[in-house]
Amino acid sequence: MLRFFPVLVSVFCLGPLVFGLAGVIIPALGVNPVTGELRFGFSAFGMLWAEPGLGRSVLLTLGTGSGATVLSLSLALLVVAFTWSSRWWVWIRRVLPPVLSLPHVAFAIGFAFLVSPSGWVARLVTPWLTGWSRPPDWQIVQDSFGLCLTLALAFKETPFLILMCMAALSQIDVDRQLWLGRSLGYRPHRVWWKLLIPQLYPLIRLPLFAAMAYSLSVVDMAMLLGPNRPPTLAVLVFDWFRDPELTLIPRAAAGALLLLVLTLCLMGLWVAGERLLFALLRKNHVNGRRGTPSYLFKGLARISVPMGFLVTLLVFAALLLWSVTVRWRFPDAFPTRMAFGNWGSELPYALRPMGFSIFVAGISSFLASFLVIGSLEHQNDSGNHWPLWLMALPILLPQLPMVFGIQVAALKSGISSSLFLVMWGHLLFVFPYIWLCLHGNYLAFDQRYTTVGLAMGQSPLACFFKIKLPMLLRPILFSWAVGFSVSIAQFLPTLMLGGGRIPTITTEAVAIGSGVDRRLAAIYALIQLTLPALAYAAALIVPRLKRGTP
Amino acid sequence: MTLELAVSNLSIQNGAYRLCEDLSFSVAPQEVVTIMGPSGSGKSTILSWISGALGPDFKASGTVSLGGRTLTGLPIEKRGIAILFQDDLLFPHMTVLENLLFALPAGERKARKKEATQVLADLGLNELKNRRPKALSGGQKARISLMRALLSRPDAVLLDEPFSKLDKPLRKSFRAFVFETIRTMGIPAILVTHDEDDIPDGGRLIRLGA
Repeated sequence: MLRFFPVLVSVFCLGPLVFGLAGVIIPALGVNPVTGELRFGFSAFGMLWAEPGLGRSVLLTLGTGSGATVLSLSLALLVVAFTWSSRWWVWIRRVLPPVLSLPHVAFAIGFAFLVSPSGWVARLVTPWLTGWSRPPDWQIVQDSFGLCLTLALAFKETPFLILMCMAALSQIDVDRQLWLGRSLGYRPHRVWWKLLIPQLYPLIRLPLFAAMAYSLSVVDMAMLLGPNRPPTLAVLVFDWFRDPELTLIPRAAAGALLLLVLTLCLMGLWVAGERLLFALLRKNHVNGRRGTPSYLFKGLARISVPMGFLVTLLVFAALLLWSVTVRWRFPDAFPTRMAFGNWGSELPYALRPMGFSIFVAGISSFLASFLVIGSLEHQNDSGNHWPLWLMALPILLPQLPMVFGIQVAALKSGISSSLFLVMWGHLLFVFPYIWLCLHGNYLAFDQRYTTVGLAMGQSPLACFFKIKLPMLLRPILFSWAVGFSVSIAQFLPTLMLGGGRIPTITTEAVAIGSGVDRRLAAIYALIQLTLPALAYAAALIVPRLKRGTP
Repeated sequence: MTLELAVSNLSIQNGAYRLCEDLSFSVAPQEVVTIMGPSGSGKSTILSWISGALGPDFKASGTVSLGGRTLTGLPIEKRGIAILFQDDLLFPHMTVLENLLFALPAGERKARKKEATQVLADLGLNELKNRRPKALSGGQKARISLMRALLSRPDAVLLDEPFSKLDKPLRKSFRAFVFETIRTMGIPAILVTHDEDDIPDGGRLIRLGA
């Protein structure tokens, strides 16, 4: 039965990518059956190049995408290297799930509440520090250089990369290598720099590329925090897709293709850069210099952990306050009138999108977990290991072109926008995240436990359910929670594959977050963050209820 | 300069469980003292404490000194005590030569490379210098691992069951190689093992209870 899993994964999780690529390349080459245009040509690219502000959009995309990637990778490695095996590390492991459960859109809404000129941070220091009587005319949120977006993206990607580092470090004998390196006279940070990071980095390269692809093609966060004159390329292309003028579809497809090419080029450049860097650093790694204490980096790492948690708490607190605010005039530090009326009047309207969110996330994360576990079992059984990059492919490619291509392919095949298509779209992006989270634990599982069970006459299925599943329950549930939260946060697949007819909490939060009503935006952001938080809580609590789970 | 390693009044406790109490011994230069005991008796924990790597779950008291210099409380990298585990722990992303260069103290590049190459030549492994550890046999890895530990010019060396994963013929020859190398370097060594065959001829033995 296990042999069916590769087929299922190919059909449901990888196959649509082929249609996705075809669905974006063909219209980009000018073929648009809707308008009767059936000849290949490059007119779409002519329309694309003629678009004013395209160059700046491309630069903004590359700047925000690469900036967020470099920043999040540096922070993640800094935190791991300087807090490993300390009490900080224990604390990070505890607070990581709630930090991870904060969806990008909810974070973006709360972050804007914090840092905008009329935001909470400004209110807390006004007027006693600033002397302002009204908010300054500064463009902090949606700044023209995309700095706010870069910072917010880096902030959201860093905990994800730390989680990936945790999974990868389970494959390296960190403690004994650290001990060995130190016994040779090296300071701990030097052991990390010269020994452990060179071994760790290749193991987190794929998740890093997933974060890079996400940062380059993000639409929801960029609409809330990114520049808008012009916006990043992903937002620009997304607006073109929504244009009711069908003759302009090839321009949107050409833009999506450009985004795909940019992403692949940046990844290629990154790989070339890392090879050059490793070649240059090779001699440095064996030059024998034991190093001096690095108080600066140690301090930076230890400040960034509580700072990150503090920002998360402030974002959460700002959302809570705004959701119950009746009156909160600038520069008051806190609302002058609060009531739960906002919730009472909005909750009935939020129930339908909540229902869709829970239904789609529940089904897609369950199916994805089933497919991942089945495929990993098949790999163990057959010894044929699929390359990790192939499994992660849906999240290594920018989402916008893929989703557009799938939408086009679905329409051509006569499949109209529906809940089924939305769930399939979610499955496509949930599957790789669950795979990335779980495959390390599966690889680390000692198969001899199963062999012992089989030797006692138990069936393979009984060994799986009685031995392996209970032993891997924690990572399986945690991976499922990650998948659930990924599904909850999906914006583009929901909007484009659902034809705008399947409202979820995320699509509503983005629509409302782009508006001016902070109270409403806070309510939807809070609901959006509550759903994955419940999934993470379940993933933490369920194993505790089951006695004997390691 | 060769120094004596001394452990005084060492007591280690893990929760309510006492691993050793008031243990004192010293190891002279060139000497290999063996600590034996059944699994869980605390042999490797004593090495962790001497090295400065004892985890926070343990409560320990006592002093360790090297040539009269107290090491207690110093971080691992300041103690000058090398360690050899039962696994070779050669760094997989480095070549054999780079593994040795990593251990050598900083200095002139050519001189360091010459020294590391000479060590490999003495071991008869010079042709393997550009290979990755995974391409080596168990015996080759074990010898390079020992030489890497000693190239950092330690003042003492701890041997945590370094022979336990080797097959019998290899075990015998590697044991002789280790003891001879330590004698040549003139440094004190502590060997932890559960196999009486590993005890060097005429060497002192400390037995730990269960």
